[in-house]
Amino acid sequence: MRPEARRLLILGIIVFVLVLAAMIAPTYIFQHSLVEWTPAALVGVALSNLNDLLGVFTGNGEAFEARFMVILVCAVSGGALGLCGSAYQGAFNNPLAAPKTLGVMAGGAIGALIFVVFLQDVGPQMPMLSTGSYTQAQVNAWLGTLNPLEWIWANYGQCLCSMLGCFLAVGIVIGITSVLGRGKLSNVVVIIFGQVFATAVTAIISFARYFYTAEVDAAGIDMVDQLREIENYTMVRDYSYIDLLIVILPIVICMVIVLCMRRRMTLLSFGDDEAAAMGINVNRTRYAMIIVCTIMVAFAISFCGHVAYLGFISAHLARRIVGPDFRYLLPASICTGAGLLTLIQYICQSGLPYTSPYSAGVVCSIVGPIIFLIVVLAQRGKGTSGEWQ
Amino acid sequence: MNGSEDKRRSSRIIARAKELHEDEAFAPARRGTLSVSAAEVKADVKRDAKHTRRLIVIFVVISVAVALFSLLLPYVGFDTMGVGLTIYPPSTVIDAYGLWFNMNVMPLFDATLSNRTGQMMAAFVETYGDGVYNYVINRVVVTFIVILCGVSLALSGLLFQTAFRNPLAAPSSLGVSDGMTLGCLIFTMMGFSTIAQNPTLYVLLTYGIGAGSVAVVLLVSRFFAGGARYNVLDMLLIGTVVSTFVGGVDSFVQNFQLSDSAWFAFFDIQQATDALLTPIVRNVAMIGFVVTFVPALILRFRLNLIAFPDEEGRMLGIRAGVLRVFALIIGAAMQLIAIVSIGQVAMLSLAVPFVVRYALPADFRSQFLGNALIGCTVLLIAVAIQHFAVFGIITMPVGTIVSIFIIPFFVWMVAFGKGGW
Repeated sequence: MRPEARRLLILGIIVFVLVLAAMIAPTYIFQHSLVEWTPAALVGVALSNLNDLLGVFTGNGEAFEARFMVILVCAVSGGALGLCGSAYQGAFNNPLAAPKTLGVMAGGAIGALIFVVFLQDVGPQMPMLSTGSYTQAQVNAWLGTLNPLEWIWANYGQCLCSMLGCFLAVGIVIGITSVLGRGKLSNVVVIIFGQVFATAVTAIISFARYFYTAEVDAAGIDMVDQLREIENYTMVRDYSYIDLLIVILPIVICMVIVLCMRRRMTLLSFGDDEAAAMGINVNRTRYAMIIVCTIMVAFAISFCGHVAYLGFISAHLARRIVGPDFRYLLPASICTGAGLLTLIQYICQSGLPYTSPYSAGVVCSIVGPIIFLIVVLAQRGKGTSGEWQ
Repeated sequence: MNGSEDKRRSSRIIARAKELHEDEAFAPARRGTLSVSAAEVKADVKRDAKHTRRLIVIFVVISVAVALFSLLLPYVGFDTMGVGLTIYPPSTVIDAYGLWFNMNVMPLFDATLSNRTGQMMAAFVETYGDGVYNYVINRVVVTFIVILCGVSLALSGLLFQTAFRNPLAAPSSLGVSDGMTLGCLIFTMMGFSTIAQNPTLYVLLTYGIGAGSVAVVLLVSRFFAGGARYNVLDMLLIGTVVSTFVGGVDSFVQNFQLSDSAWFAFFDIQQATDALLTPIVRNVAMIGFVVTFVPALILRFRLNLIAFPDEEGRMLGIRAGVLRVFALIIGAAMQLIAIVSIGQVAMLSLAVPFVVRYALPADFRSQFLGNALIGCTVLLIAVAIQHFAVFGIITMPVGTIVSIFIIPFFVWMVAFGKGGW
């Protein structure tokens, strides 16, 4: 077995164990006010969680379904982001490329922004109750009265808008740059224009939050909270089995397609001219890669939320672990992305002060760099760039 | 044994190279079909130089026109009650400049005039109202500093893109703007809601933390490289990682520690909406501009060299490394000065150098001039637009305006420019 393959195998096993552990490990372990956490209590809770996890597969684990699904969605979304990071870094031959480079994250954010500001009040609204807040049972009863179209809008409105925003943004960036390049997709122009677009959208979202904070009224405060969520939080929520199918199926299909293109990716990373000389249609490969990755990331960020920098960091981690060969790099970056996001989601659920299950985006940008620096530190003296020229 | 094989191989390579060389040198007939005559090349170069000169003249004319426009048309954006826009017609503005000239320059030639300044001021106030004079004169200083900031931003972008040879290398990748944001956050959390309450502390915090994060990046990348030299790509990666970390801390504090009203104040401070109204920010910006711009100006001939890759540069006997680190530090400092004075305008240093690359030849000197001109023009236009972009009690920050309005400009320039990366 080649050393890369061995490392990939070990990485895969570690990540699998990590995901399993994140599912069964007890949550809120840092909050002693809830339970007195002795080691025995921790092991006991973990064992009973394991029992519940097995119950999910035999059909009687309702108590456990929510956490099981959150971790699963996080693992798959993290894998998608990591894979996309590696694929873009190879396709554009640029070590700084990340999933957000082509404006897909910005597009998702602007779609969600448009939903929150303009479209939220369109369609069926839940009647106001005298108590002011709803229980889950009341919401479910209300959802049961809707026709299918309304049901989809009420459940997935924001996800749909966000996804549409992702596709439109990448469409605009790719369309304009290929028109400018007279049919050719120039590396540098795509990257710069994507970056310009993303910066503009970030500025607009911050400004929208500023604007609605200034107009403080009852509706305004609600909207400000939602805008803040768009900017910084993950949209982890109570998933159902249908959600799970909607998220995981397309992402896994896209992952398989990208993995099938791994040999072409290796050639593409030599640069456009060399790849063309070796018989690859550079433009077509790059277009295909961008389309597949966009679909993958659009599903990930619409259902799981914006985890900035995860793609960048996990791609570099994977390159450090298995080296630059895309046959091993692409699966490895799925593993690192999945492992990182699962770990971060567990940290968010573990009850550390100032964290909540919805703060993975923020925690990722604090924990991610630390992990990256630790891995770099372990390889001190070899340089940090990891086989980039 | 290995050594002898190497020697044999290298002698073979040299022989082959000689063959090729002779082939080329003694086949003028075949070469003639491919190459152009020296006269044609000369004419080409001359035409290009003429074209470049014409473009630079056009840029100069445009930027002077925009500067004059923004001096002649000061608008009062909004007053604190949110009543709306007050527009001073150009005649008022010209009268105010006349008054300034009469009060400050004329007495140098005619000493008796200095006794009448009070009367002149009173007459002006009677005609146009209180505060107009101060507003207009203030506006001149602000315009001047906006020009400095525009030049700094565009040049810092140019330095970074040249040094890293990577379009994704924005000056913010060394952690400058995240550090500045952290400074603003600390300033907000100490209980201040506008810069005017304690401008000295604002300047200390923003400059201190911004410069501190650049120092951390340089130190860490030197440490991790393990040797005596800086690897540029290492620096870029470490910079991205450090700025991610600082940005994470920023958004953590913004979302978990600040109330809505505190966040509002923070955004105001971060976008530096009233920074230029305080003298200390202006003075520091001017000093900083001199300190960073003059070395860049002096070294602009040498800065062509940082574009060489490391190995090739070493073969040519250039120590590009030192020069490159110097360029990066100067670029980061320029960016810091600009964002502390007029807010987060990162877009400018990303897009303008790229656009200028399409308009002017790749020579660093013409790039230098073109970037300075276009940068200040874009920023002046954005500040002029800002005076109309009033929503209720808030104005749109300059950064947002630049971000939105640079996109069509960018597309137009890339579509019709003839150069390229």
